[in-house]
Amino acid sequence: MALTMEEIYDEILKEGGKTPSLKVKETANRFPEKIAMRYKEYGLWQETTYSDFWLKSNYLSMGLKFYGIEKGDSVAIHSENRPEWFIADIGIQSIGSISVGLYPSNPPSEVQYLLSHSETKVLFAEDQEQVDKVLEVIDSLPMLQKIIFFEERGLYNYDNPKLIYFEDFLKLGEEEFNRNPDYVNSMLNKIEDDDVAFLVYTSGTTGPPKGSMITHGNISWVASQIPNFSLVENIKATEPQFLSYLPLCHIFGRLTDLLIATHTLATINFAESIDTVQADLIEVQPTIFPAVPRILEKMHSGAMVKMRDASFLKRILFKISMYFGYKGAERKLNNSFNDLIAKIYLFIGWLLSFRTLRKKLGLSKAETAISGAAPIAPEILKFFMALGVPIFEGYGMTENCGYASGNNDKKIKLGTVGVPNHGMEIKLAEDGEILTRGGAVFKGYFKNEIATKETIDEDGWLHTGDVGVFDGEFLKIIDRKKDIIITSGGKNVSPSEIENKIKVSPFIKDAIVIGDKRKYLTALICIEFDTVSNWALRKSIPHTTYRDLSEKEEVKDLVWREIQKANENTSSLEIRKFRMIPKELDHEEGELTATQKIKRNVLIEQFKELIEDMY
Amino acid sequence: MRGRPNLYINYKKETAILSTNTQKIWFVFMIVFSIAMVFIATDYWILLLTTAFLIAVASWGLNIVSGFAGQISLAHGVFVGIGTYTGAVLGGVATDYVVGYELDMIIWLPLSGLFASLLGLLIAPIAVRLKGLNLGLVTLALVFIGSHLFSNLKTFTGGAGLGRKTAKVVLFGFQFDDGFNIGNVILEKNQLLYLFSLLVCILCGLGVKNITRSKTGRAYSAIRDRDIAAEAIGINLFKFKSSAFALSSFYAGIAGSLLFTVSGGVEPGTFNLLYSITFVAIVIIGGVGTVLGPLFGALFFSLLPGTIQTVIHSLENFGQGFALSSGQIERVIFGLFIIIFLIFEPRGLWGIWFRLRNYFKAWPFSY
Repeated sequence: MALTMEEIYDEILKEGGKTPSLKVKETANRFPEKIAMRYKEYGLWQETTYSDFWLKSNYLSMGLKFYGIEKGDSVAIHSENRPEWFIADIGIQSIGSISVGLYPSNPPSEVQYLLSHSETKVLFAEDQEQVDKVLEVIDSLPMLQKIIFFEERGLYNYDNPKLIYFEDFLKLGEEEFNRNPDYVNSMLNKIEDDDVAFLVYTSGTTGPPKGSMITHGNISWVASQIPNFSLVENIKATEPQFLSYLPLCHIFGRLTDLLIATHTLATINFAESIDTVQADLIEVQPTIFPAVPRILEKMHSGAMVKMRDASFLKRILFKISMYFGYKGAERKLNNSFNDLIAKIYLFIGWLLSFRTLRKKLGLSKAETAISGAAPIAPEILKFFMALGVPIFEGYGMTENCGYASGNNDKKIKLGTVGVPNHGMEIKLAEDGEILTRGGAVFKGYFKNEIATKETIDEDGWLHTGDVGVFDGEFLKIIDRKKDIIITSGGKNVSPSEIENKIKVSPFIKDAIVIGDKRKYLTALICIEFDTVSNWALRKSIPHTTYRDLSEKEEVKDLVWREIQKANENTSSLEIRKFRMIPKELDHEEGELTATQKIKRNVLIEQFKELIEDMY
Repeated sequence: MRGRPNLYINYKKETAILSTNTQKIWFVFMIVFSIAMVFIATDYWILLLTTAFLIAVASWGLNIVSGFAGQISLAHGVFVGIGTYTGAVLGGVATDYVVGYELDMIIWLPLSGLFASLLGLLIAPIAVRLKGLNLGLVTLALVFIGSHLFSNLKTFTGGAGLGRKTAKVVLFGFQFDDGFNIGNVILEKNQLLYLFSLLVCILCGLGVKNITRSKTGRAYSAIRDRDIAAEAIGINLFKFKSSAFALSSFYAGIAGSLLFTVSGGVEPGTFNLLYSITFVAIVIIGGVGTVLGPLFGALFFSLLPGTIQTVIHSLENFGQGFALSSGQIERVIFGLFIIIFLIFEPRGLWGIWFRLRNYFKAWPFSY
């Protein structure tokens, strides 16, 4: 009954891409018993079939109709990744309403901004934590009619009339559905390509978040490219497994977990929480592994630290494997991915250490792996390539559905974001800004005509705000246009390039390079507590908290050595001095965005004294 | 899901007795290997292995009550004895001195277990009220009561110094004494008994494994780790402590009824304090509270003397003109082994196995 990937791709080529709602409906009819989702509860992966998935999202649509939600109305979801997220998302989109995703870590003030800006009428909140956030600001949200929560715990004696439990809501929807079973299908057929499917709020490293309108046309266009999408076409497994852990309100998570998964008839496994991703990876061993640099860096440094604790024999064997792995990776990069000698080298590594290491990292079944959402150090990519799991760096942004360019096994160059994806055009503006054009370019910012006009020009080119260069046919990102540092000596420096070099060190979690209008470059450093703590224990350095550890002279020396290593590798200016940030950075305190990106100007303002101290 | 051994979608798979392919392969391999031993090993080793399997069954019994449920029992040998004599009376031949009913094994084997477990239930009320050393002392007293009764109930046991013959091994009318022909291979009584003991050992072993994954097994562990806390979470101490003693005695009874059919006769003096202590030693050497431990311990205990003897005999001149006889050297080496194990591997033989397994399981890391 299961289709092979080739058959699936052929179908997409023949019939074109579809929206996730249509695809789920289609799969529910063709393969009703196919497992759509798994969610771990009571230690077991509880399964939901595609037919249940579709039926539940229908009930949800009818429930929304019962509360007067119509086509074009906004409905928000504020939750960690879980089956209810998908059910809600599909249910909302099926009747032409607009789905708005909120990050679970959004504090009440941001919840208030996002809900009022998006004119949300109904909110799906995960649990007591998220319900409390919205109740705190509910007085300033007159549009909000209903709050539906997924988990009852802690909410039994809340008496706000707007609250309703998810299961009760679905029951209500079921009654409506039995009365009017054709409503969802009729609404689904009325959806036009230009209708907005969902809003994705940009993380907003500067200023308030902007809501990007992604249309049904955008997503079905991206879906139609899947058979030619360099990162997906390598999947061969007949029943691909996804692990959903990237936030679904971010375009990267939506693209992989919702769009690609539904089109490849995959099973989506939900990580229990962001803290258990590594354990869940081991259990699920996903077929496709979309990752952000943060996760990959953590996997790399975790493996390295554990390796240091390993017994002598194991360390030696690991070193030998690493030697052959790197040699194999080099050959693959220089010649081709089909290079026989490279395969032999990698096989030796696989035999000695990497078979089990990959299993422990959860990558033993990964057929394709992507890194996106932020720049990644080539050293990390090379490490994974040595293990035999090539990770391809891609480039994209919310405004083009995350679909712009990417490396693949035929065309790859580390340090670049690869070649333009099938169907997308990329060119550079005169000032070096990257412009993209194609079916994935969004409709515009919600309620923000000015910003829309600044971003999309008359010819349909999307101005990304990133500065890049072409290295042959490979696109290389230099930095955000507004982040580029011009030193007082007049030299242009890309801070993120240097920061990434520094962050290769397993001991350093974050680095902020400073030097705009200054004589030389300096850096603020945030250490990786776990690895530095492990290092300190080995050196018998007593320590207690993060702050205490980061202020130890030995740790400062360690960090300085790591920075010097980065200095040796860089072609631009050196870091002359650094200071430790005395606390761990946090989203709720406004230092990081919801996607864990540094809010550079906030930090520069907050640690003004530390910075001045260095000049 | 192929290749994803840790992705559990139901509890049945997660709590399976043999949950991984590796375990299944090993299990089948060991069974095939054990059966093949019948055709390879000499009679001497067949006898030792038969004893080892049955001692393993008895040790599992002690492990249930002491290892899993945490109740000290120094009287395990007595229950083995009760099993032995129940079997001997029901299945043995009557003489002028002793009674015997010559029943089929299918009757006396389960009854030996049941009768022993019934007596086990009798001491359960004491176990519920006593803890730790006090319980140990009471069970110690049981050993002396047992010895006294075994020596004096002459109609059943033959009396001290004399003893009696054990049960005749007849299963569904088939006499083990007659041997069995497969083509031109003749299986003699010892070999048949070996195979039967292997079967009993496998069944009892699966039974123990099954207990550990059940509600009962979890209740036992809870009682072992803290009885008050266990009671607080709703575990009926009386019920579970009693059932632990009953189950333990059942295993002892089964093992006991078969154990002496190998040699054919048994003397009441066998079931003394030392005999009971031996089982404690086996469980400790093998690994307390583990499933495979008692099996390792029993194999070690039964096979080591034989191994030492073989080695000493092969060194012909060794021990000539030496202060100790070869039998004494054997005991010294055996004692040394036990001391070394207890010092360097307190988790027993199973601990060594566990470490070895984890070394490869954690590859390429160390933890």
